[in-house]
Amino acid sequence: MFFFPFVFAALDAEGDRDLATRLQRRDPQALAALYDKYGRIAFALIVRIVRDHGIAEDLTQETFLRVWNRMAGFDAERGALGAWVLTVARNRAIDYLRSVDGRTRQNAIELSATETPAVFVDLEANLINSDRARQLKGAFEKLNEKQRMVIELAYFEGLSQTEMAERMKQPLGTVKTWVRTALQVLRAELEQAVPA
Amino acid sequence: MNPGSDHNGLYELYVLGLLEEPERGRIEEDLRRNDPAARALLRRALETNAILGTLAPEVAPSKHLRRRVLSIAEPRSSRLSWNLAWVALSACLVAGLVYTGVQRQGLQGELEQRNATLEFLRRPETRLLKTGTAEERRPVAKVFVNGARGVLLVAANLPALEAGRTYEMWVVPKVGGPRPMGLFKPLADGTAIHLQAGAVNLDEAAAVALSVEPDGGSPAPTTTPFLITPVAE
Repeated sequence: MFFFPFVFAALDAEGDRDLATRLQRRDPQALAALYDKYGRIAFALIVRIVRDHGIAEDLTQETFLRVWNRMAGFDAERGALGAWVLTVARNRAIDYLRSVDGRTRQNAIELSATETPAVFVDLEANLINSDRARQLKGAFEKLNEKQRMVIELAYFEGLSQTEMAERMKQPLGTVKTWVRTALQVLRAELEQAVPA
Repeated sequence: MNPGSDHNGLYELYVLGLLEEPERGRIEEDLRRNDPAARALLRRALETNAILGTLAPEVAPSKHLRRRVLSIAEPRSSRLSWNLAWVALSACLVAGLVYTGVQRQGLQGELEQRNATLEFLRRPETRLLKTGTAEERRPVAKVFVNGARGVLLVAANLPALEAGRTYEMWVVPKVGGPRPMGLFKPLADGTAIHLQAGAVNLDEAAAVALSVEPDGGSPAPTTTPFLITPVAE
């Protein structure tokens, strides 16, 4: 795993506020700016999930189409544009995986509930470029192999804990423990970077 | 039942899509009540989730993708002219196929199928879905949908098929596996028109897609679907 060097570039909250306002005015140049800012990271995330560049391009276009169409519900003053774009991108890719392999997910929530633009309000400014984001890499490396694997299977493959247990040929309770412990480690590390 | 009782962990599981009942229901109820503590925990979990996305290895998209994305915001008149061009092209192709089919074979069934395609295109409730632009030699398609009448695909630049293989169209629902929507083979120049007549529940449809399948088709895609066209709201 590598961190994106470019995410530390100019990802400023004020710029995002202005960008969101222009997107709400349906400014085509704003869409270009949004793509230039978040398109590459969204594409990389989708590629990591679907592992096919052609499909990833389709899903990236779908991601920006969805964001463009739903900007009216986004709070330009308080919203976190980057976090929203990444969430929509991940959900599009996971939905694709689930549709293609016909997985019925009794244990998974409807992902679209977590990408409503209105919920991305008052998140940390410059999240993707924040200390917390930098902290995550170190935290992720502190996880043991099993803990890292379950987080990757959940985040990048959209597997339920039951599916992970089947994939890893481990008892469900063991997998749940790995997941819980991994999230605790990540949280503890990330909270060290949270400004008081 | 999920292990652990700390609320942070539950919200992280919820956002990852891992939380099971009954905790999931309780969190959704708290969020519906707009509980401030629940909102704060959700925000924190969403932040962690978004940050996890930055762990993906860097991959550069093609320059073509930027053009595709920017086409979303093209002025409506420009998009409309493209759409009209596609409709005109479709109508010409259909008319040509009608003529060729009748001349060569005089098949009543062929004529009826082409007439059905023209009628499908003429219906005011038939919608054109958004797709990529016709640049380079990538496969491109226009997909028309009509909830009462079916799905019409007009494609170009389709790769030639190996012997014993066919294209299969799918409607990908929001929940569950893709549903087969008929088989077709493109012409030698890579173009194809495929109409799958019959009612389609567009409210439940997420996308239309193609895959390459063995002759006779498959109940579910056996190769990676492509030309995925979202059924946008």
